[in-house]
Amino acid sequence: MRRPIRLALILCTVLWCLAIVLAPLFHLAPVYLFFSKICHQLPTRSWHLYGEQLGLCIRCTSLSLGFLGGLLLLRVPNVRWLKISIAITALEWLLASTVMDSETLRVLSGLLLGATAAPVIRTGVEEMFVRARTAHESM
Amino acid sequence: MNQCKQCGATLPQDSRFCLQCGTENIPSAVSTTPQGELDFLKPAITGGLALGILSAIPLLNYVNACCCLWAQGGGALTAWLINKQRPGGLKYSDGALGGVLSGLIGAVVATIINIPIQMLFLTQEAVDAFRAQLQQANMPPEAIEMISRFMQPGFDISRTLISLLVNMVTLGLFAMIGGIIASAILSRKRPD
Repeated sequence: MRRPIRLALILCTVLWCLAIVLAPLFHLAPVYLFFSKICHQLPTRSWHLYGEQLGLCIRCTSLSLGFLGGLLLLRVPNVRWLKISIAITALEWLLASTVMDSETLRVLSGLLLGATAAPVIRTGVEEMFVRARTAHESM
Repeated sequence: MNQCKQCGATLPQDSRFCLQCGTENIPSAVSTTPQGELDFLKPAITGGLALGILSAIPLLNYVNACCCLWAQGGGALTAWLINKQRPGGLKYSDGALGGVLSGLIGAVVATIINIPIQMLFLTQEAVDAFRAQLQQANMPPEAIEMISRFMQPGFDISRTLISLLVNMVTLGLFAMIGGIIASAILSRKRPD
């Protein structure tokens, strides 16, 4: 039961990451509209491809890529590392708004947070679907 | 009256520590809550209302441009409220389920609140300012046109329905993420 859920989650994340990159290449207006609900999409804080910005800003893109990497590479959820990466991202955000706004730090903190959150979220999603199926079968 | 799980001494109601041996005891009202009897609805409604209202109020809703932070907060609030029923014993799936429910409730709330806001308070000047800001983005013109269409004064049923659908997907997804992360942080249990 868990394996198909894991594969579906990886597939959805791959599609999500592809949508970010393919939006400027194929002028995908609905993708920009969808992502405008979750990201500021400021051109100065986004990577560009052939003159058009990606669907999400640099931080959100890094988070998404880190999440995909975490899904593929990390098996066991580690809450301590998740807490550390949340603290690092918060600190980076604070630094960026007060002292120094560094694209590299944004990318690194985004990748780290995405990667550490991935196994935790995968476990939660797997448990939720297993539970829903068990409840459905017992009815 | 409760009994200490370590030495069996009788404890006053709701006391956390045994007066005889000092062992920490979770109050009976909480520890006796059987698995599967968690109330998801009330926490989800509270979290959903909070994230829905915050996601609809102009200016405040800009926080959602940071990875749907209000949605994640609403999901986390729901997980925290569920955790109160079983302190430390929250499963990741509890947070996920509570988060999804609160996100869906929040999507309906945000869409409903947005209707009078767009009908009564959205002025043409505000729309023009938004459009001018959007023109600076390096997006294809059709994307700018599409996003602008959702920022128009008045009521349009198709626009409202599409907004509801997009809100349900985004707020549901990110509230679930917030719920899972909060349950991971609050939980003392390892996942199944």
